[in-house]
Amino acid sequence: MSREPVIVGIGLSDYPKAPHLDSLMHISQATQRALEDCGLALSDIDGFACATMPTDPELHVEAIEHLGLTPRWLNTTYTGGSAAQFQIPDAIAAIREGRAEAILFAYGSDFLSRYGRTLGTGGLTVEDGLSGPLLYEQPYGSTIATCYALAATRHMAEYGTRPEQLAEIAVGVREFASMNPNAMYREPLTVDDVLASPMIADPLHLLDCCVVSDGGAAFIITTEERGKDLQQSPIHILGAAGANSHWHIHSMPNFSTTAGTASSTEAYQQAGVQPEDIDTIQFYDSFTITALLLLEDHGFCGKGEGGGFVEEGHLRKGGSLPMNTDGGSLSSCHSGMRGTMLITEAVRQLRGHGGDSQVPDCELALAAGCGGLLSYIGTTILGRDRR
Amino acid sequence: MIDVIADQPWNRGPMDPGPIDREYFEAAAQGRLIIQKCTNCGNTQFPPKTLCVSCGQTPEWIETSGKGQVHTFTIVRRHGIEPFSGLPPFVLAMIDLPEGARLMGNVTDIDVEDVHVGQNVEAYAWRINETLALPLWRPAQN
Ligand SMILES: [Zn+2]
Repeated sequence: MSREPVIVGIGLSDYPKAPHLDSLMHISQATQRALEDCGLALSDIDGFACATMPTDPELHVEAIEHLGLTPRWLNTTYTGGSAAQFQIPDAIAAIREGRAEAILFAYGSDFLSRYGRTLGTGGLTVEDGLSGPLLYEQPYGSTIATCYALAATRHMAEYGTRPEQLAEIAVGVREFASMNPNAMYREPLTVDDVLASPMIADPLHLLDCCVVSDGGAAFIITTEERGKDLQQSPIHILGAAGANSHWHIHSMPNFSTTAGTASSTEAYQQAGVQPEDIDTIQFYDSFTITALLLLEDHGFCGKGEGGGFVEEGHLRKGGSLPMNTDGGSLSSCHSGMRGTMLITEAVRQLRGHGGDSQVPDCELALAAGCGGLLSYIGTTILGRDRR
Repeated sequence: MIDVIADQPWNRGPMDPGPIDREYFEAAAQGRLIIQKCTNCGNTQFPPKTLCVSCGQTPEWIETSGKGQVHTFTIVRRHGIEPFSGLPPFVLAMIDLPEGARLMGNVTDIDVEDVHVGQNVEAYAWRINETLALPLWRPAQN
């Protein structure tokens, strides 16, 4: 009776624009679709993972009430967009130890419908007076985009990375988005298109930045034994780890390196695989620089060599390491925290259900979430077979 | 000592620093850029905190030279919030101090296209009210 963890059901809610759904209904819809996908019922679910966001501080308990769950195991760890990656290690321990039989991961947000498109260039509006750590950022006009731009500038200064190399990341992801009928933007892009788009915060152009959308996702982890007789081929969780370096951007210790070096080292060790074994990567691509740093820090190329690696076309359809085969957050869907969607897309590829964007002979997928401001990096390695 | 300018009215929103943070902005209004140094373990830290993050003792303040170097920067071209939405292009940078801290700030008094990593800059302060001022940066004079 193997209690090794497998992913058996996945579901996405309506995206990228769903004004008829609030965050809770995104969770509800994605959950129902994940259950239908695998054939489990809500009554089978006895574990629940759902990140508590500052903008929706009670979403997890509202979701539990709405779904009628009584979880024996609960995890609401918030690390920003990598929350799912940080919750998975505890979930797989709970499955192995018998503290849960079937764990539902769910995320959903009406970010676009609620906040509009200016999220990345906005800031906090402080009515009562600024206090705490943001005193040292907010009065200087810091935004989400400027934080990532600071990392990009530093990477360029240290390693000679060029804007057209960052742009190539957006071009490759858009190519996959063109194969996803639901993606927010599907028209093909060129590097020149990216470079000609309005500059937001040097060196990041508009098309170096992710979309803002509505959307939700859910997946279900259970035991290998339970997964055998469900509707889909179970996908094995082979490695899962998280690491952090800071929270506020002013405390980032090294502006050209993330904690992905630590999270990936541990995940590779657990899985017993090397970067060259991985067939596809599902990377947090909040900005093109995010994906570039994750590439280097997960060992797919040397430190500082990400620009040249990207230019060689590895991340494209037909390349050696296709990235973000659903169109990513750069072109398809970004509703605030994308870590859950990295897993659902990795599972879709490993099942061989990728359609036009299917990666050939896809046996190993690596998902990497990035939370906060390049702060919390989580790595999950999934396999078609147990190794 | 760093220059304190008072000829531009403060327009970047209300500031309500707590007791430790207040000392930093008060010092700036008096022409001093200060960071914390722990006499117990030697740790320097920024932003200021009530206790040393390294050993838990109460840190002291040290006055810096007010000199710094651009570690990284961006030219902000789009901003969605007042009053910053009317400011672009402006430079937001991380500044390394030789005393051992890295601070966020704006680099002003320069064509934004001329800012570069490694550039030497010096601090000045923009008066917020009678007691507080915000440190900013401009190219070093020599
Ligand atoms: Zn100390």
